[in-house]
Amino acid sequence: MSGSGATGAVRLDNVSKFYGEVLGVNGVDLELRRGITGLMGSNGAGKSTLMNLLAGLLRPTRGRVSVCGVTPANPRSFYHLVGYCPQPDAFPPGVTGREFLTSLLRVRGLPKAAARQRAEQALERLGLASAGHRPVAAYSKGMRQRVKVAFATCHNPAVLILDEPLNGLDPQARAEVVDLFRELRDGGARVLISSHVLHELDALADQVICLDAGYVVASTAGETAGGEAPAAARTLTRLVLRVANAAAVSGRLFKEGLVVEARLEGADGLVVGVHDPARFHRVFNELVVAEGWQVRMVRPAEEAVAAMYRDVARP
Amino acid sequence: MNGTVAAARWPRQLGVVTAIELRRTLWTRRALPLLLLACIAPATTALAGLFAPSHARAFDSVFFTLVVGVGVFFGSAVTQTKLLRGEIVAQTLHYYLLTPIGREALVVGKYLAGLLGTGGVFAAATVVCYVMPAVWGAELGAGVGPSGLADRLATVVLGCAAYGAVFLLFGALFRNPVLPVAGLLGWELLHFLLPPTLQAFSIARHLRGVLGEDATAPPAWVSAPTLLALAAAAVALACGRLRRLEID
Repeated sequence: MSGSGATGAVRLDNVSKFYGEVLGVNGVDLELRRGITGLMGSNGAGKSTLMNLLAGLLRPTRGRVSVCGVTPANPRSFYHLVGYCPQPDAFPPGVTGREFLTSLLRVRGLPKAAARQRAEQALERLGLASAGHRPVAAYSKGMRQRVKVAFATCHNPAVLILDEPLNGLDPQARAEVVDLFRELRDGGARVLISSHVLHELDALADQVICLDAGYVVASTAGETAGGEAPAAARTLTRLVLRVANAAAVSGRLFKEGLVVEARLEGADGLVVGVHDPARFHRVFNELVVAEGWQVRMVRPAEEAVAAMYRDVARP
Repeated sequence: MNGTVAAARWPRQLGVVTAIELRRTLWTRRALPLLLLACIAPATTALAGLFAPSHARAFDSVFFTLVVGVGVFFGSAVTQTKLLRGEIVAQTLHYYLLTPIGREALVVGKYLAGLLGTGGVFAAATVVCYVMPAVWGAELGAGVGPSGLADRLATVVLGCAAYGAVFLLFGALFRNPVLPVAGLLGWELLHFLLPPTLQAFSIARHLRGVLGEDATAPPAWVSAPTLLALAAAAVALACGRLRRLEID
């Protein structure tokens, strides 16, 4: 595997993209963890813009995109590290699935025999081996989608960017493709997937980033595969507390700098937003002991991606 | 990645892109207009042979107007404008852009494919026109000797190189390259009306210089390097445009 062993970071440093006066994305600071990261947001939220920036198809108006320290300005190195499954469902006319992959692997610099072998493996892995000789134009939507995934993964990239890759796939193909993404994740790759199907992201992603109107408005961490440091994204975790004298507790939590937002719910209900849940729990436990607070419950307010989406995305 | 390895890899990548694009240029439906344009001059020569066998100068008459003026001009236009603009419109260029190839190598590879495709097709058409008079018993090349054939083949190749590069640039610069192509056609048709200084900016005039049969045109040793320099400049500009291209 050429790239999956790479350990360097995928970084967006204060990245903004404007189309004239129209905002694409603004001030995005992200470091993608190893594992699968879901990207969600409503239409026009900036998901494809962010992915195109990461893939080097767009240049940021401000800021910097890099993968293992390499920027898209150096395509000869960058595109060995990055694989991208773009959204447009278009292919060169008359080309078969096998020719499509073989020719692009040859453009990557592989000798003819090696390119053919690699293309065959990619077709096999995506369940397209028997259809490889047919023109891509004659494929079903799901098959074309799988050819694009094969294109993105055939060189075993360290970073895989997938713009709605599950669109048009039947359940079996969907399960196979998801298994492939997990396999790449387990091999150490960083995978960024955008999707509108929230329950799929919920089941698949280790971390979810939510975009709205060009801004990263939230991100959440599930079980992380790589065990790396948290992403530099502006993470907001909401917790529900049931505690006596919730108003006073809320004031104290603000004073300690543990929460960035709080909402009272009834006499003993408190919903707080925290940037650093680990620190919150540690200090909160000390305060409970020191102040004698009567705490009946502390739990995450929103465990599901759908709930986060509902919470942060604009209607 | 090691820079030396990357540097060593680009000639092979250039060759691969050229081969892929040449295949698309000659072996897909994209080739149809090119092949039809290439048939015009041989068909006209054949008709002249059938209906006016005494027309000894048939080859000479059709060459510049039909092979260069119609075939090379429009053949290069339909081929080279599609190499970049066609792929941008069809949303397929990004597959190349997502591979580890320099954008300059991509442009040059596409240009070479277009040049080889158009140059090969119209050179073949020229040879067919040259040989055809012998079919009805006239002199081979209708009196134009082998050196004349070589001049004509050079004119075809330089025409494909110069027009092709300009049309490739049009495809890189304009969303709809038809208007600039029409503008260039008008310029080429009417350049003889312009002052001599401006006539120097006509590709057709320099092609006549390469052919060496127009006393008012610049000599071949001026025209040929001028056309090659124009082609190189146009391809360089197209490279610059593609380097800045963003795909959304």
